[in-house]
Amino acid sequence: MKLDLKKLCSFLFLIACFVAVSQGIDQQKVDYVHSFANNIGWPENKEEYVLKVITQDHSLTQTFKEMAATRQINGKPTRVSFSSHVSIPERLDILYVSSQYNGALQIIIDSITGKSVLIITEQSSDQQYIMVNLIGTPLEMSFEFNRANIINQNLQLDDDFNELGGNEINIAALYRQPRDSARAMEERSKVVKERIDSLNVNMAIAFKIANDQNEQIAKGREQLDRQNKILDSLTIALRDREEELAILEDEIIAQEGNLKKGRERLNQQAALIKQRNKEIGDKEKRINRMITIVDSQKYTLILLIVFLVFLVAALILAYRAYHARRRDARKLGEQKEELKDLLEELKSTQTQLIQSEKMASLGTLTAGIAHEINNAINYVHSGVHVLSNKFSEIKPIIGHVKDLNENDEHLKAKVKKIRDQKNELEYDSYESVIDTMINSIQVGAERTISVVKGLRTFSRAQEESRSEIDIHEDIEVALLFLKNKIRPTLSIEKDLADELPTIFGYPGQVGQAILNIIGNAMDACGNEPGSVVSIKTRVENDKATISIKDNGIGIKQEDLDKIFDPFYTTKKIGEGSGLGLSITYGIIEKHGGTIDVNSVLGEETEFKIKLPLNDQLLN
Amino acid sequence: MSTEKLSLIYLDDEEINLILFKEMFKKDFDIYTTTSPHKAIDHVVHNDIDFILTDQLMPDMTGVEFLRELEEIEFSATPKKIIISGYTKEGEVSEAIEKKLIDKFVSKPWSYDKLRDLLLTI
Repeated sequence: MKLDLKKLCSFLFLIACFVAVSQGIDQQKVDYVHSFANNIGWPENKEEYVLKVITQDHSLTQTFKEMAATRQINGKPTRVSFSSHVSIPERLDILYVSSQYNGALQIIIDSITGKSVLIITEQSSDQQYIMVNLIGTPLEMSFEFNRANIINQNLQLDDDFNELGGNEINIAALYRQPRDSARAMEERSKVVKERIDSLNVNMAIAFKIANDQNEQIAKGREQLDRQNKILDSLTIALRDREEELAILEDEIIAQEGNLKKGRERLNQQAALIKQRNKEIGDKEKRINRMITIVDSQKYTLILLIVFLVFLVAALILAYRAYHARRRDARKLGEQKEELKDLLEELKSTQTQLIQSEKMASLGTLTAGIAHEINNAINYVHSGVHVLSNKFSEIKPIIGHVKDLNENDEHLKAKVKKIRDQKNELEYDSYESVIDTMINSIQVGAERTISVVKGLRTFSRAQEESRSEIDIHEDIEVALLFLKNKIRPTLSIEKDLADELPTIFGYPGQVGQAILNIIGNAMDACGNEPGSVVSIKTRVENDKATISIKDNGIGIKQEDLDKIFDPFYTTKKIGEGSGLGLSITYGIIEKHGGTIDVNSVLGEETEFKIKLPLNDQLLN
Repeated sequence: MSTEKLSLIYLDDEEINLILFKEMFKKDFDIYTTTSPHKAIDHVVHNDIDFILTDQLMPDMTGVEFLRELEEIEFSATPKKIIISGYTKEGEVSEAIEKKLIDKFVSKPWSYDKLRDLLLTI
């Protein structure tokens, strides 16, 4: 039944359209509105339909009023209201918006959100906002509709709605378009935003400047107020002063007279003062001169005082220094004395030391000396023994010879008897034996003498006076004493100067030195076969040189520096005191000589003594 | 007569000692004297010797060395060995006495009686 009614309505609509063309454009619009309302599925059954028309068009208003009065929508009455501004009533079903209000369409839509209101617009270009939009010319009016927007308002489009002849808006195209344009818009808006931002910044600056200026103006105003106040007070003060000034002026005039008189008096006094000043100046000059003199004298005085102080100090110092020096001198004298005593003591100690060392070395030489003396004594002893034997054998013959008397008648027989005895004794052989024995005794005695002499020379005490020294004799004595040290493997080579002048000194000491060195050379050779100790004397540059060289073990380089040190020895305990070379060094030095040593380890050692020949001996 | 006497060799580097000795003891012993140790060794080896007397300090070798050398040579006789020296008994000599290398030590100067008694009593 309802469906039939709708078909009827469609039919009527066609008729109405037809009439509209002839009856005018307003009637067409109202008819369209009526048809739309009838072909919409409303969410609820209504008692009446409320229609609002926003327009300024009177004829349209009129046409709507007629429609409301004469026609029904879905069989229900229609209440219509009008306004020439955009206002949405609380209760509303259909809203008609004239083309003049198309710009507010978005606002209108926003205000009806949540309500089931059908909005009909005319000539709107915003296809995305419209629900139903009347388009076309008055002669050929048509409409377009946006299904999505209608459905969104909780309204339904009846099937017959399509038959009303409107165009459905392609929503997909519609949304694509705004998206593209939205992008363009976005770009534009960005540019605009930037511009706005810069404008905002400028504006902010401008605002700030304006604010600052305002503040300044305010300050200026305050200042001005203050100055005004000051000015006012000044003005008052000025007025007071003016009054005072007037009074003072009178007084001044009165005093000017006095002043004149005073000035005259003043002039006189000034002249007087001038004169006085002059006098004072002169006096000042004099005083200054005197001050200068006094100053210079003061300076001199200070200098003098300082000088005196210094002088006194210097004198005190000098006195003390003098005292100290005297004390020092006295002390020095005492020390000198002490030193002298010490030196004496040292000398005597040294002498004792030399003597002791000599005696010690004599001890070691005893065996050799004893051997030498024993041999010599043996010559004498044995010689005398043999000689006395022979003599006792010859003695009877001598007795017979003594008894011979030329007057004896048996002389011949006695002589014959003696001759027989002589023959019996082999006397002829006796003669040579006796000669040999005498010779032996002589040699023995001489050797004993020379050994004893050597001993005497060698062991003479230190306090002996200086005398001539025969170095060659000292060498011989040394070799004699050292005879027991001469191993069969050792040969002594002597190369003595033809004429070696005697030197002047202490004979015992030089002999001791030579003996020490030759003895050491022999020790260095040990039992090594082919050992040679060579002794050479020469005269070189007014000096007697004695070279004692051996091909023994040599001296280590590190020992060379120490060999002249006292108590330094490489010999076993008991073999050497360690004093020999130290004493030798002292002796040679005492005689103004030098002693040098050269040694190649394992090859040879040479000691070279140089003694001055001139008799000016160092003490 | 000489065959009855005991034979003796005396080695000394001092010629005079040899003469003196020979002169002193020629009646008591059959004496051979020399200054050369080598000649002495040769004589000892080739003769029947009763006494060997030697000096200790000699240029070529010491008396002890001479006796030591002699000991290494084999020969039939066993002579008495005596060192006669002006040197002391110390060192090499005392060592040699301890080792029985030498029988007696006689110090110079010798006396005829003492030396003769000594030789005849060993």
